[in-house]
Amino acid sequence: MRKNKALAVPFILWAVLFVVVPLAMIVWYGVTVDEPVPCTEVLLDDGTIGYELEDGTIVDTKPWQKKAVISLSNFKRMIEPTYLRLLLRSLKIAVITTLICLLLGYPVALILTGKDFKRPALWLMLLVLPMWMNFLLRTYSWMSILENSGILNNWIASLRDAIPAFDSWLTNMGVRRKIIFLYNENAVILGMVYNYLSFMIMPIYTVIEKIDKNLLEAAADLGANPVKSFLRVTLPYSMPGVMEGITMVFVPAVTTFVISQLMGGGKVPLIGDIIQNQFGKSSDWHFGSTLSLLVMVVVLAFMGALGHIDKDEDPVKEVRIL
Amino acid sequence: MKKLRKLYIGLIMAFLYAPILLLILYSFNNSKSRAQWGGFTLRWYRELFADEAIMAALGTTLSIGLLAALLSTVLGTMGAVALFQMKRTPRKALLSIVNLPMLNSEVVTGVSLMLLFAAANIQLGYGTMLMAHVAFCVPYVVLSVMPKLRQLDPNLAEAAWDLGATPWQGFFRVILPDIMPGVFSGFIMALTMSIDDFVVSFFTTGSGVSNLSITIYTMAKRGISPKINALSTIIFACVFILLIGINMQDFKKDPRSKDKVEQVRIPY
Repeated sequence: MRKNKALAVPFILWAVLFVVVPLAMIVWYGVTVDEPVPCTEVLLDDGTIGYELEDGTIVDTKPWQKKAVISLSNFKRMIEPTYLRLLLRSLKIAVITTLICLLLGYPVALILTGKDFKRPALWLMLLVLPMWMNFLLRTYSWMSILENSGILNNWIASLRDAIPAFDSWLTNMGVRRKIIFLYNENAVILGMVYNYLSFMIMPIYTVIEKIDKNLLEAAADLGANPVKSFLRVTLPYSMPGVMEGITMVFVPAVTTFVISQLMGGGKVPLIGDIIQNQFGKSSDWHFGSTLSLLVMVVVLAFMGALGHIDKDEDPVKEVRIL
Repeated sequence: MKKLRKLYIGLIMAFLYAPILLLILYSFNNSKSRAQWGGFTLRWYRELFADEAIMAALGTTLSIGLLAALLSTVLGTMGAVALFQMKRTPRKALLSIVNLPMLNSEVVTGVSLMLLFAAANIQLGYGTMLMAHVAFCVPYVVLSVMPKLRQLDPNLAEAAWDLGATPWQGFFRVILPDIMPGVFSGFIMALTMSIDDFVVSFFTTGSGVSNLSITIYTMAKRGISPKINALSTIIFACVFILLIGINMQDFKKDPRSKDKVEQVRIPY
């Protein structure tokens, strides 16, 4: 193909300006802290108080600008138990979410690629369709199902009234009239599983669908039962999809700050919440950047462990939605 | 066994759709409270269109979505072609840069762009939100155009140029039509990403400009107005009808027996 260098210019500009520079800024903010401009109070001739800067100039008002100084103090702060505990909790919740998504999602992909459904494309579309409704709204809707006077509690209550045996059984089990579903870790996990399940199903489906059916037939011809041919053919061949799915669920799960705020009601803060806070209310951009760096490293380490990096020159993620 | 498998899919579908059906139901509920059913009404649908804040947010969402999708499609397509023409080493380097925003979490992307705008002393608002959206949509376009370029027959474009076409003519008359499906799916993907985005928008907007996601986020603390439910029901219905329409042909056939149909990729 004849080269057209002009095409590359805007693209490279984009890459530098919107990818490289912002990341460099996070690194810079992460390794620096704000320090007030050093000055000493001096009594001026007219009796008021002035401020003498390092270079000897005297100003009337206290200099408000701060200057960034390279310091690792935010890294020290980051490994304080408070923040480490938050990071561990984020990791724990993300791992549990990913496992549940895998356990729920793999069978879905497997069944849809099987012979049970005549129109798998339609079913797949139905699986993705919920994603077109704003995810905040969907999560919020879960809250109205699960809240104390929500639908689920109402149903359970009316079931209890209708069936006394059920009521006494629940009472014996120590279940309260109003079950508290929301505002704990389980609620956050539910919210994440709900939001990210499709991310797991799609890549696995795509990979399983592409497995050469002759392989399965050959396995059957050679005497493998369905379980064995699943374990020896389908499962190993679907691993790339599984890895992709794990990444697609794990990365947002580690860093989300919305689901934990809604489903956790602020009681289950995750590392993402702290980052958001640093750029909002607390307004400590330096510490926020340090935490962002931490999250980036965690995510990259995770992907490295999964063998995602540098395996393929152009990782193309193909998924059908339509 | 077969029944069991169908039951399983049914349960998963119920899990996915329960909150959505509930939302749709609430949009017809003649009561502001979520706890009780006050009878059927179309009130929220009427009031929706009179609500200036929601309409403004919808306008922002749609205009940013379309503009960001358009700009990132142009930029991404140019980028894909440029990448394709590069030698191996620079291409690899640039591709890993392209992949970075996709590997990074949204929070990091949002925060890093916010720092960029702050450093450049750009007032946060509509413009910064649009730039941020273009920034994170470009990689998706690149990744959906690249495979189409690889399938391209290089001789065709060469022939065009040999027969006297200018480089641009060759690009527009020969290459572009062939990679159009990839360009189109990149556009759709960018549009979806942009419309659904919350996190990046949250960090890069300011001075009162908010899209639907941000409006919903702000509302969630006080209670979401049923008008939002009504709006979402309308959007959901439109997408549903659109997708069914586009795929009618597809559903009739078993995909295993048919030729490869054009695949639209979504970011997952």
